[in-house]
Amino acid sequence: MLANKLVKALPPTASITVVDKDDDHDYQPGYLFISLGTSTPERVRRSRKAQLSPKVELVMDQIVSVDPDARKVTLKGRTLDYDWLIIATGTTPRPDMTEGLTDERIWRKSAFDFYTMEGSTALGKALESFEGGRLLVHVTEMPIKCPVAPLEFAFLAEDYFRHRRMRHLVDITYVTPLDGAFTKPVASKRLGGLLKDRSIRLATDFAIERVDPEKKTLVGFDGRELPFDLLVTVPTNMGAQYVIDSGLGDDLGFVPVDKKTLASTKHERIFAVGDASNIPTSKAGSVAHFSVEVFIDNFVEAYEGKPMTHAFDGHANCFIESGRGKAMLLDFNYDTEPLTGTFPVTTIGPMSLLKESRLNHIGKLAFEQIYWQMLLPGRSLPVPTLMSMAGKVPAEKTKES
Amino acid sequence: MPTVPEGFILPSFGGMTAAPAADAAAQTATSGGGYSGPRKLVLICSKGNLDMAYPGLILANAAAGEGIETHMFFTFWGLDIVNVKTNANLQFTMVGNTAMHMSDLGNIKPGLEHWSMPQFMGRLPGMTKMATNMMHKQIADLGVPTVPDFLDLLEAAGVKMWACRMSFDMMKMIEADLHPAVQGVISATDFMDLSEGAQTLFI
Amino acid sequence: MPSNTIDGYTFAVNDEGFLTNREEWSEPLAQVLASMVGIGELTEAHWAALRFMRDDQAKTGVTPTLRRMQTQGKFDVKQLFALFPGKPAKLMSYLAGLPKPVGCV
Repeated sequence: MLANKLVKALPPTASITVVDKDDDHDYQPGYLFISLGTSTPERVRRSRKAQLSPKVELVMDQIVSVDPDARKVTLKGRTLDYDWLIIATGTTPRPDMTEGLTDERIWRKSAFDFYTMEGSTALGKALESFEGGRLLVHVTEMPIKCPVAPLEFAFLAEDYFRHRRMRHLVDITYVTPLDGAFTKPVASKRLGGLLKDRSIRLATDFAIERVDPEKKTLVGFDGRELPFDLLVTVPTNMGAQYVIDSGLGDDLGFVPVDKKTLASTKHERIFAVGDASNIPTSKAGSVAHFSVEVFIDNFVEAYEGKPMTHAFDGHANCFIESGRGKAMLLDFNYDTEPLTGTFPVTTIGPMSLLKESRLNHIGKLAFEQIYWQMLLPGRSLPVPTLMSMAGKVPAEKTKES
Repeated sequence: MPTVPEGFILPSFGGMTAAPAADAAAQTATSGGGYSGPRKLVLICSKGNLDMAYPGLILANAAAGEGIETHMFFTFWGLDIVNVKTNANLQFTMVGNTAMHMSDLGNIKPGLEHWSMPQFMGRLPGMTKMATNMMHKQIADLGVPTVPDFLDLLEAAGVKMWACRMSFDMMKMIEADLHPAVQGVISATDFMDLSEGAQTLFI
Repeated sequence: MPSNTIDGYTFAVNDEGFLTNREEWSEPLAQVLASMVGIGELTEAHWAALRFMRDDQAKTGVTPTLRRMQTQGKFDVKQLFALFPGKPAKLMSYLAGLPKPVGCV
């Protein structure tokens, strides 16, 4: 999307090259549905080249390192020089960072992730043959890409087992290092209440030390042991390896940037967009999207040697599938936590914030089409880029329910 | 512990005072089988109506307050008492209960307070709800807590609760729905071990 | 009416041994009684409970039940069971110089 928009925004003398490791572009929200049997790899994966404007050059290779002083990017097969570098390599789930998780006795047999095509496909098969027992939905540590995804999995799995008439045979627990179901208070309360309503247990403040592959148990630093028959975990999310190797990032491999302009605080001519940066908000597709819209305007100014005048407010807009054909919607930014109310218009909505509704669910499903048809090619949506307080109930007024 | 002077009347606190040995000996003499120890009470709660939930809860509370090791075993409809999805909505009906009287009727005509409500009344629409609300009010007037609050109180008092495996599976209940005071879902055989040497009451 | 004498204190008691006149109670006496029933040294936590019971009984005329101590006094029942093990309600009322609570809860 970034490349396609830049083609339109920059003068024709600019040459834009996209480097990626292969031609597979996945609609990542689809992974969740693959694992639950409601989507297929064919639907989720499309050719990367086909999404890009013909004016953009696509180089398929693995990135080894970046030399910010020489302005060179070293790939496995060649080297590229750059005038401007935009890092958009996102985050990678790193199950190897948790001791015992990738042990062959359990990895992809009773312990799974659903953040990769392989992981979600394997999980899908495991769920089909699951006969009952303890299911743990676990988050290793923050930050992760799409913080609501594990909650969605918990809700949808509950639904899935209900449809298979075996809900009473499965004991589901949501295990998190946070002190509640979500990072911010109003949402945490609503989501926590929803978990209780669905008879899903909640284990908070769980800092995982290791996984015991023999006993199939999660062991926390505080000594707590949580046994499982099926573990669905979100491993530690880290930035791409070359970011770490080239010294461009922090200790989780994310590039430190100015939260308004997305320019690297360490090196000139380098920007980081999307999950690859360290901006203090959720790593969400919507954040990447909104940040790119602001970023394009800033980048054009920088390219022309002018100071950057636009500021990104950290706007995020996330659907949370809550099962039973409904979904919730969160809308927030750097300064404002997710609040209740309506979106995008006051009272009329039509989407309801922090409340389950069928319309929200339809919105999430429709989004898949919007993604391929509109967002990637660079067409704009009639949704405000910066977060608006229209339709929101301020935190003090939010009723206890 | 200072010695109790001659002629000093000291209340019995069961094992706390200066004569524990005599108590223990008396215990062993009366209890059969292989159990000898402090007094143990086990309550089997099998009913899910509001009126029949309370006897078990109140007895358990009294026992716990006297330092008696107390266990409650919930089976069949009694599971509704420890199921967080149902225990706030237990109901009371007069159908099948010929001993239901309304004491306020005595204000209209003396003697009416002993009149049994006719059974057909219980089947009228809305009667169950009315009777339930009436019972809630009577219980609250006595300062007795609601079922969920009562369970919390009993948990704090150290009462151990158990759910019956068979009825649990029969009703396809979900373990996460059980009140936290429930220690586990056990079989009838486990229950036999649990209740050894105990005074067992079936409610 | 029988009476007990210990350590220089004399007070009227009923057949079971509970104080019948709340005016004859004092904090040092409570400490002596506590030692005799095996509670030992009374801590601030113990005193908080005993003082609440006396204040509440003065207001309502009846010894508060454990339930009332939880709702009105905001005490943690679990902690009360730990402070006065075995028969907490009975122990607390005895040490507070009050009659046993009558309510069922």
